[in-house]
Amino acid sequence: MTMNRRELDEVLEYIWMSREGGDAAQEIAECDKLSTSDEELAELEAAGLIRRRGQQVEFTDRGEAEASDLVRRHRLAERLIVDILGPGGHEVQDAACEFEHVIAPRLTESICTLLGHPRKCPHGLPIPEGDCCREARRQVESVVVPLTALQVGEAAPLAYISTRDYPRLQKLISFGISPGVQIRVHQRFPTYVIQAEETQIALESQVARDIYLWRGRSEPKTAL
Amino acid sequence: MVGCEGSAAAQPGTGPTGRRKIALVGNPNVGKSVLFMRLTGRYVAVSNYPGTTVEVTRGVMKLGRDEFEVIDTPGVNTLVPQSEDERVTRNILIDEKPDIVVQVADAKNVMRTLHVLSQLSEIRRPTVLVLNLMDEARLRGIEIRDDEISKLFGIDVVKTVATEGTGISQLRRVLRGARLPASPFAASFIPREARAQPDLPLQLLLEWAQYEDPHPLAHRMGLDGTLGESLERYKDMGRIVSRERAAFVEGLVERIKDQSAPARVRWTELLGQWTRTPLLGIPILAGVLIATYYFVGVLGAGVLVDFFEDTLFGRYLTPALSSLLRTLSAGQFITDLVVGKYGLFSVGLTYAFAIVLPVVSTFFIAFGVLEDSGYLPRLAILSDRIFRLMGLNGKAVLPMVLGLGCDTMATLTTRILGTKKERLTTTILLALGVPCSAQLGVIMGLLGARSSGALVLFILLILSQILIVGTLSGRLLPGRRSDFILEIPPIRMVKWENILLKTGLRVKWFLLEAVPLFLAGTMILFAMDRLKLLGALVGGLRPVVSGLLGLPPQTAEVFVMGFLRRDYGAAGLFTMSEAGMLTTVQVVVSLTVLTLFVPCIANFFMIVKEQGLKRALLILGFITPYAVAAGAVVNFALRRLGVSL
Repeated sequence: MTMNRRELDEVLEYIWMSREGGDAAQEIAECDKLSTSDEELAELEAAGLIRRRGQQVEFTDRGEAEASDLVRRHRLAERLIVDILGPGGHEVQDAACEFEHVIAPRLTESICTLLGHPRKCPHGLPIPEGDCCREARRQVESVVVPLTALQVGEAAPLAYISTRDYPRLQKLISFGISPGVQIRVHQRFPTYVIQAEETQIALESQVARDIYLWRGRSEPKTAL
Repeated sequence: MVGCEGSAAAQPGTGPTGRRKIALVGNPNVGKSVLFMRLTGRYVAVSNYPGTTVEVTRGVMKLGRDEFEVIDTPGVNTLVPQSEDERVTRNILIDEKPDIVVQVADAKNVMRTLHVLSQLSEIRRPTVLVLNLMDEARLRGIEIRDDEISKLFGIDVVKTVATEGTGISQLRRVLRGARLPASPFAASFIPREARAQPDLPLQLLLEWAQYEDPHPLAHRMGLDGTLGESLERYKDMGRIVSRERAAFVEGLVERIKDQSAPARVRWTELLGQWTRTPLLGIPILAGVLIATYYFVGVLGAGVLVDFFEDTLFGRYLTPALSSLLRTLSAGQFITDLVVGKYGLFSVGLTYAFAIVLPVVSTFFIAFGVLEDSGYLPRLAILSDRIFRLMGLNGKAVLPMVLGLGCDTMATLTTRILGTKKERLTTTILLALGVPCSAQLGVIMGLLGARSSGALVLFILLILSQILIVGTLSGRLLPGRRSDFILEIPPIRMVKWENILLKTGLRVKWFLLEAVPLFLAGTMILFAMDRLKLLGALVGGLRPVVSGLLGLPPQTAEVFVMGFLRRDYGAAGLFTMSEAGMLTTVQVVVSLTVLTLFVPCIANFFMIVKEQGLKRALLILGFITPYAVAAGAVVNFALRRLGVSL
């Protein structure tokens, strides 16, 4: 008997989740795949996706990549359904079980990005990383962060001031703290001390939280 | 068309003296007051922290044959006022319509300079830009293309180092030819036709409209109704104007400022860093306090007071005056009045000159060094979290420390605080718990000589009272605290010339204010003593003074003195203690009561001026019983616990 693509996927997923152990078995149970047979494993082995050593089963590189992709799609689908549509018990599982088989790789990336590259599925299991996640992590270094995320000695240009408190905004602007200006953090405790141009300004963390900077875009500055 | 210029010409900005006016305007701590002194020769308080000038000072400058009235204004980072002192400056510009505006700027901080200049140019008064602190800018490798600024805004730009007098003569030369500035900034959304009258400060009015009704302001500037329509149409666009202006200024900076590598890290910069971090800053603070104690408490209140009181007054002046009165065969009454138990000379002038003056002088010298070095704002960083417990922020440390010099001056300085609640709380704490320099020096001398344990206990007692009352008023008073955003000036080498000048001025001010009150107080005591009222008062207060507080009944006299001035009362305690009338516990109790007690009369009047009579009376009505109660608790606790100090 030859498995269709879908059945093959289910077995790969089953092996992945067995390897994770614990709650993973619960999750796979919800997708009807409760066990795996010897023939199925033999077929996977023939396809070059797994290797068998006695009772031990392990992925080949190709099998690992494919299983990782499948699990990733499955768990992203769960996240998508729960995050966008709200939690719904079994329906979530059913939909996710269908979803993983139908979404194209490119679409997976878009969904992952849309969801903000989540690390875990609603069950709390890790979502395998995709290329988009790795890329995003690199970019995070040059992304907008609040001033409070900067370390002492770091400098970054100001992106925007996020406050509904207009006197606060006016005051910051009048001290020369406005978009584009290079802000250097000198001290974080007991209050923040930052430098804009040649002016050192002390401010409390509540204010510092409203100031957002382009981290990773700092030009080297000669001034102290 | 009646524009800004037209109306300004119709009512030229001459003062009551008919002199033409020059207003000095600029960011805080850029040296406006130093420049003011250079131009007028009149001394005003100059320090190295923002907000030294909270009141407007006026002086006269001679330029050839003409006399100008020069106005020193509180520093502003923007002409859109965010605090009381900033409002004062804005109002001078629009109400007094100065003939010449001199913008004083820190050459290191081009962006903030241009921000104010861009707003100032829309007020359309003949303007000169002074780039001060050129020495500090050069040290940091900053060069300014002043010709670019001059071209762009159509005004003269002068580079100065005001503390050294560099560039002042050039400033005097260009002043008279000050030109009306051009306003290169144009908000993008205001169409050309609304800007048809280039003289109208529509953009600035829109920025003001974010916080206050712009119509009265427009009226005060003498603007006619045509502005009204545009104002109405764009009323809510002020924020956009502000943002666009910031972007415009930022774009300008690149054209105007050249930055090369700074010469090297200066030791003052390192000191500036160390003093603001808790790890090093707190030990440094302890060192500063100990040094101050030795200078004021040991040298001032010890060595100098000993010399003045015992030797000069006690051994020479008072006996000499007594024998002089005898040879003049003055009557008993006159002799008692001058050199008696409550004599104007033997008590009033002795207290003022022999006890308080040495203490005040040494304190003002020490305080001047702290002020001019730029150390004080660093205390605001270290103390911010403590002040937040009291519904304040670290900025409140400035009036509080200033209060150690004089609570009256400090009460005025509460204006630099952002909200009404902060001003009121700080005023209460100043009146309640901050001893002024004269009193502090006497306390240091009094307790330090007895036991350091008593001194520490006393300091902890007073600090705890400040914390308790501060926390309560922070919770109970309505209103909110303002953001803690404070400029930290660079640590600078102090100029002894300025410190001595400032100390001299403060001592003179002290003498003028305190000596008459010391004499009046002595007169009152003398009269009460003659009329047998003093005995009655001492007797009447005995249940409180001796019963509750466990003090000798005569201490009541000290409290009466303290009513006039706290330092006068403290000086009275000093002599009682010297006469061996008080145990150490009694000294601690009486000083606690006296310190927490009513502020001096001058301070009280200042509270009335700043907060109104009703609040001033409420503060008085709260503090007096509180002080006595606190003293009673301390007395009871110390005796119960059998503490020996």
